[in-house]
Amino acid sequence: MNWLRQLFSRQRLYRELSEEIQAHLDEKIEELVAGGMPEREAKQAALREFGNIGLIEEKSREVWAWPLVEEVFFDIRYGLRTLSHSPVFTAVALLTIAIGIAANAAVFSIVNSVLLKPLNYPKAEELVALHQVAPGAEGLADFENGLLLSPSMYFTYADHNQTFQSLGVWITGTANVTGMAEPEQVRTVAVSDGVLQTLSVPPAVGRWFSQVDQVPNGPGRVMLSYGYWQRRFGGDRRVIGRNIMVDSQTREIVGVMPQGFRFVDSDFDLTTPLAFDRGKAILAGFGFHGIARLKPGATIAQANADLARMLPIWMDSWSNGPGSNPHIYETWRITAMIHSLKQQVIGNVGELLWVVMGTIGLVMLIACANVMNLLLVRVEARQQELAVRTALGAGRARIV
Amino acid sequence: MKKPIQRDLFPGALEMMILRTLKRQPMHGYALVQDIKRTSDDLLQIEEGSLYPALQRLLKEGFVKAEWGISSTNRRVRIYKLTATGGKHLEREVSSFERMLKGITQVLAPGEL
Repeated sequence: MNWLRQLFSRQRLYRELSEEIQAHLDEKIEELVAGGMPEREAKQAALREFGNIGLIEEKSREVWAWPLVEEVFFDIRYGLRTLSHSPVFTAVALLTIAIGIAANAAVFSIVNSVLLKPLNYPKAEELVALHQVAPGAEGLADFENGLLLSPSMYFTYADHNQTFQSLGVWITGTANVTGMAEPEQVRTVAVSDGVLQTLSVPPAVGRWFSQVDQVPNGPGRVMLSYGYWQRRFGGDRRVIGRNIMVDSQTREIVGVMPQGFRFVDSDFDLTTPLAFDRGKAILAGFGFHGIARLKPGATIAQANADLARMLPIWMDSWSNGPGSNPHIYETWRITAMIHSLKQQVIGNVGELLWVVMGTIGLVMLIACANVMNLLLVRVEARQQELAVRTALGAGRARIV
Repeated sequence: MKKPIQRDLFPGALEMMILRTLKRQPMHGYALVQDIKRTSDDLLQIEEGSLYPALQRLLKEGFVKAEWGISSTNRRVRIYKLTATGGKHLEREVSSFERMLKGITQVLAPGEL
């Protein structure tokens, strides 16, 4: 920490130096006067013999200074002084660079929040999206979503898997809420048992759906998002147990999810239980997103193998009605391609964002190039000044 | 302005003389420069001020240390004192200087021209 102490003691050091030099001069003068010289002459003689006080003090100070740092500092001061002589140019250059930087910062903040921050769930690294592809099923499976899950698949996977702590399926939609101030269309997410357990985010108020709420044609239940709760109920904690009309069906509010909670990438106002009827499930109906939480230590490869193992069980356990061939799905070549949830959420957006980021970087470069051109023009005009500075001994590096 | 012929001690010469002088006894800046001038029979024209940057360098290197004290003329002055490392440094410098001087003298020595 020597250098730190040095930094703080420098002022004292310089003061002492001046004092010392003054004492030196006084002593010299005194001696000369004692030798019979008039005081005025003695003063001049002392100064003459001593040399240039300013220069000597500066040289003495330089011993303690960091020449490089201070040189840079003086260069900056010089630069600012030059800039203040031409406010219009300064404004234009600053604005150009400022816009470039602002655009970069804006895009980077998006990249940061989307790509670099983890998902907002406990132990999010265990979460996976049950993504499957079916190259043989033209039209039913698309590139983005692959082949979604059917209710019967959900039952099969939930019953027979060996690699997941929990899994569930969900689907987004809209619903009309009536019976309150005025009818409203809201965004909904319908979830099977297991989705909330998988995401593991506890409710802000009330409770999650339980298996009881997933009974087909059972008592209607609903959970609210934090935003909807604030907007429609003013954050009143007594909403639990109240009934609202959702798509003309009476549903009882059992809980409120906390602020910022989303289903993977979907914002919502209400969430309802899917309440599949096991007895009516058939093989088809591939419309649901699957989500699961891996058992600790289980890998995505193991989970893929697990799903592959369960597909024949699925085809053997369900049918599409009398006379249909359940093994028709073998021609679809259904293959599990489980992603981490993060990858699922980001998807192609990731690549797109990097492209945007690159573009903005390019804009920044162009802005810099523009400023550079302006500077070049000005250097042309400053030839004389530069010549003078060179003559005075400014190094090449300092001029640039 | 000084005449160029009086200038240019080689780098380190002043430091060496300061260290040597301080080895004899601690003293303050003014006394130091007078002492050097006197000892050199005024052959060396030292700009008195040039002592101070040199002293600062020696302080920084830890070859001398300084303490405020009272001079014989009753002034508050900084009295410089040689340190142990300063002593070693002086020895090294002197021996390398002597080698250099010897070399130069041999080259300059009158011989067959």
